Amino acid sequence: MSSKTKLWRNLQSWLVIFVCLLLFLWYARPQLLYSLIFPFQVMEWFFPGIAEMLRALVGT
Amino acid sequence: MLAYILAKFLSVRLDSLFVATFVFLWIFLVTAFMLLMGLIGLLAPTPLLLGSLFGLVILLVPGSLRAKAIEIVSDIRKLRQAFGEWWHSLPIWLRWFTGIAVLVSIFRFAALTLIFPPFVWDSLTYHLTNVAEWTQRGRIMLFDTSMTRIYTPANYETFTLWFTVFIHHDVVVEMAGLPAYALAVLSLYVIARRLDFSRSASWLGALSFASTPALLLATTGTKNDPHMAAYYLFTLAVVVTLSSNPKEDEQPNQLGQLTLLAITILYAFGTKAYIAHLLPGILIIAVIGVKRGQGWQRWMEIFRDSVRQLRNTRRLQLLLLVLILVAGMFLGLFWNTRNWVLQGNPFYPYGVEVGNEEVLPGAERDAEISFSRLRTNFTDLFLDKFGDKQSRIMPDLDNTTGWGWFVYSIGIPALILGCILDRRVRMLALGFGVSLTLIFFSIRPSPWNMRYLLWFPALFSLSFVWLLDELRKADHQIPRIAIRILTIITLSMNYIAMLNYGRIPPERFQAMLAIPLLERDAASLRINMPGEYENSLKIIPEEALLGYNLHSNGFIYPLYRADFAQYLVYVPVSVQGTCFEVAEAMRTRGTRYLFIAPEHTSDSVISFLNDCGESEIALRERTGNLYVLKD
Repeated sequence: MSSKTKLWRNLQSWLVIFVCLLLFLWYARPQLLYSLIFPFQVMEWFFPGIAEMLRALVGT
Repeated sequence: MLAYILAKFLSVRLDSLFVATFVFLWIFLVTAFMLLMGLIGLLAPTPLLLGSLFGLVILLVPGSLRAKAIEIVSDIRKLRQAFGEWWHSLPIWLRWFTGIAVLVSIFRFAALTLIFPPFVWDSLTYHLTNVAEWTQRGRIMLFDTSMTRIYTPANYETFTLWFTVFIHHDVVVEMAGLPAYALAVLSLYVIARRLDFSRSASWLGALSFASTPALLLATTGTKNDPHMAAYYLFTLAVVVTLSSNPKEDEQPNQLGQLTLLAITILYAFGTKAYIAHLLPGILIIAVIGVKRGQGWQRWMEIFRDSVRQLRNTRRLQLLLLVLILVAGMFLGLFWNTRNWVLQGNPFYPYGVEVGNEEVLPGAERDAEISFSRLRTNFTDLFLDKFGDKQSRIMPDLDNTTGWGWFVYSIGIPALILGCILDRRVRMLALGFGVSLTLIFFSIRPSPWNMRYLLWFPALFSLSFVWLLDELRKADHQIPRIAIRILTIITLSMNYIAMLNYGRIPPERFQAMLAIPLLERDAASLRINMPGEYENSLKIIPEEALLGYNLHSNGFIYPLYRADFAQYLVYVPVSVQGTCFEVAEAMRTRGTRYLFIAPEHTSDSVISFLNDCGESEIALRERTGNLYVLKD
């Protein structure tokens, strides 16, 4: 493999990760975070400690 | 046992395709058996068990089949060994993740099935209404109701009977989607492996598809869409297997696999007719070939080899092939033929319109194929549903795609890059795209129509499999590790968000748990259910015949109760008639009770019956929605 191809391949990998992360942040909007909170409300009833931790993690 | 023997007969070797074939054939055979027994009115535990036993004895009489059946012991050993090798070939982090995902899934599916009764709209209107009526009567039949959709092809409902008939209860009815879920995930793995992707990437791809919210929600949603997704992907898996070159240690079995292909398509057609709109996409993949040299020329070879194989087939094997095909035709064409004979329209209750002329009249809306539908469906997808931005993902997929965290974070860039750089991804995208476009020509634009596309996220997962293999070629470890971490995060997010369907509040959860397991009627889960259902069922004696007047999109199923103890009868009401005529209609049908419900009975009927109840001429109002004949 030539060094040019190698460089391109590596650049491509980093670019993919960058785009994926950006899209991840784009997708994580309030109403979707709420989808995550929603099961926590049920979880709180079963395991209050874990729910509290997850709630803090998601930031509400 | 029969599913195993047939899987041996139609498959090539003990691998993932064999397991997927076994799952499909089990669904296929259970449905065929239930349909046969249902049509002759023997849908009860004893006749079904005796029938199975009789079938098993007949099956074991011919020596060659007996020999195949005996192989099961050594095959299980071989499969266990193969599974052990496969498992240990996966990287340790993937093994851990798989173990946790499987445990969480088992817990989630079991909890949702046992805690909640069915509650998804269409299943309460017609899918489960058929199941309840047939389970009660011990016979598959048509019955008098306002719900004309009971005429639609019902392989899924027939298969679901297996989950209700033996225990005469709906406590596990939501599990009827699980075999389809397993088949869909296995099929994705088979496709990826047959396209020469690595084992661990293929498995992670299968897991990513398994976590798709829309699929997870639909699996226990008691509707037939996850089954359709499974048959679409399984058909594609068989096509890709057939067109790929056989591996070193396998004897090609083109004839068996062509038969498998035929019965899968037929079975899907008897489940929901929209498979006809999806198949051209698979046909394009087959004709062009995912890889070079696997297109139509390869299919000519396959057909030639099949004819050769057919000539050398022994009589017993030939008989078995014919029987399988006959069973496939039976399951594929029975429902439409019945409708044709009874209603003069195979697609009843849907009419068929060509141009502006109705060529086949129906009771419901006309089936339509138009560019305006295509345009509206694509506009809705990209402007309203894409990105799941309108609302939370819930079982009806109201204005959401339900594709979830993984597809939007990793799946989309993987697909775009894959289309640019790899022929296999390009060809898959072409096939999936054609299927998507064709179904968009015909499905009615609505906020809830993404359930027809449960198979589509598989394309993102397959592209992701390609991406994973590509990243292995890069020098740096960091992108590889980063994508794995992001994958684990997004898949976990998908699972967490779907733990309780995204819509059931804690107090409802608690209320359901307070009800004993076998008493959790669909009427008692008040998330989309008017309180009138539960209140009325408390009043009406179980042994009484309950009359109802619900419109063609009303919930009938909850009235049967969880143990199918309540017998129902439809009472038509004409608002132009008199209260005496309603009373007479009730008497003729042998019921003293008439149930109606707001939003599930037409407003004019509700108002008419209110007047009857107030004047107490022929009917007495028992509660706001339950009328009793005056003595």
